[in-house]
Amino acid sequence: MNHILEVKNLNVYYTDKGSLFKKKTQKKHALKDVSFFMEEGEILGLVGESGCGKTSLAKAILGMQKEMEGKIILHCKNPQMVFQDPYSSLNPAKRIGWILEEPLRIKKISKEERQKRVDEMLEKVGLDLKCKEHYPNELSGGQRQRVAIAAALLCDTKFLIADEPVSALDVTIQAQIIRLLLKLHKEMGISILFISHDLRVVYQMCDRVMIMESGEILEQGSVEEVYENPQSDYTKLLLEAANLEDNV
Amino acid sequence: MKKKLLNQPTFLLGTIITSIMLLMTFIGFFYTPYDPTQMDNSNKLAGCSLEHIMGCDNFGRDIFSRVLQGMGNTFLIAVATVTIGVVCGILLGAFTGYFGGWIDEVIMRIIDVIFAFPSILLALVFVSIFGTGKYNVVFALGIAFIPSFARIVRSEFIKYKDMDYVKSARLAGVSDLRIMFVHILPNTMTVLLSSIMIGFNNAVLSEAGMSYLGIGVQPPDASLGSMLSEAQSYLFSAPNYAIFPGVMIILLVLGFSLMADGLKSR
Repeated sequence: MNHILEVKNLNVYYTDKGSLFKKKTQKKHALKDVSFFMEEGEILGLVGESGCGKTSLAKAILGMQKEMEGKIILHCKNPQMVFQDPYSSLNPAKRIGWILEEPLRIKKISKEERQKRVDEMLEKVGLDLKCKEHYPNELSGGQRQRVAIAAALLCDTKFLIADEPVSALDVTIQAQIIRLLLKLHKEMGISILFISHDLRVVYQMCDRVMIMESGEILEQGSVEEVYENPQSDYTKLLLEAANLEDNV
Repeated sequence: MKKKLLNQPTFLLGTIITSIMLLMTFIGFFYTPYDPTQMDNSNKLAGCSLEHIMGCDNFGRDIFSRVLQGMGNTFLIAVATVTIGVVCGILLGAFTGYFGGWIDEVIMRIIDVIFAFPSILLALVFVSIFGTGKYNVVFALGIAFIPSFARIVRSEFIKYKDMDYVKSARLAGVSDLRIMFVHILPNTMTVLLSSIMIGFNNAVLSEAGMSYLGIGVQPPDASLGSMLSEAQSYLFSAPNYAIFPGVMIILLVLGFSLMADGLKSR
């Protein structure tokens, strides 16, 4: 299988810009020597506590990171991202139909074609065609997240980063969105980098998983491998915590 | 949502008042019952009557005719002033807020300098260089109005530029200019609209102040502000001289404020 994404020795820093009275001294090492690859059409889970560099990694892959060293090779055009908070990822001043048409509009696709493709996509993500007329604040969190996924997929991408796409939703809706992502993954063959802190969700979704702690990747492997035979103490802790929740 | 707007009592009332005022202003451009500058010694400071429904001023000129003409002048000056302030303010605020960096610093410091001058003083300097008259006042006040709008727009852009929907627009390949003016600007509208209404009110009042100082609308032409300041001396002998222009200013300002209020609570 071909690799869709290769990351080699990636280092990301955040520098304290300094101001008139403060010198440029502090340099935070957000990602330390991160290397991994993703195969075409797989779902790779990225697990770690908040602040460990998950989002920094996503930003680096999308080219939004300024200070970085190392190599990122992405074998696909316009990577897209689904954000954690569906309440800030849709423009509140625009109707859903407008938001969905926007990526097509800037590619100068004709109006009929645009509407046809938006309708198709709405059907795929399981939304009513009527919601095109609504503003984002008139939809529920789950519906919004579906719209966000539809908007990302309308950009004709083969690679999607999902940054905790379900952690802002309640449990029943979480399951729906996960099923939707899995369905789209199957139908359209997109590769998904699935960022989460919920090990159970990752177990349901992903083929392989990476565990991350304070900017380093502790271990990576297939989900079964990592879950049944964790190598690092941190992973064991995470798994224990997840199991504890189950028992409660 | 557009339908709901007119069901809202405040917005509806504001619209009614504003449209009546605009209609009167419009009529005033073409027709006034008397010549607004024609003096009549026999009617000095006359009270309300059927011939002069708002009475006459200290030169015997018909107040109603002068109010109609004055509303036109006041309205034009206020609208032109606010337009200059808003257009330049949006451009400056959008670019500085969105891009940031040293250009932002430089422009904002210049704006601070302009902001530090009282608008009347700025206008006085302007008028002493370019001469008196309506258009110079519009220009001077317009420049004095830029800083406040630029600051409002800038802070809104700073607030919105890192929102997730802006990030995803960027990922979808939308250009910076389109993100600024198509994606972000509509979100600033509620804040911007209410500050436009407040700016409009300030412009009406500033125009009045300028006319009072004799550098705005030149007599014998009327503006609501200049009529009000002339009427000060006759406040007790002819209260109707001050009341009618004053009421017109209030209605003009009230109509727009109510509309702004309705828009905000949408």
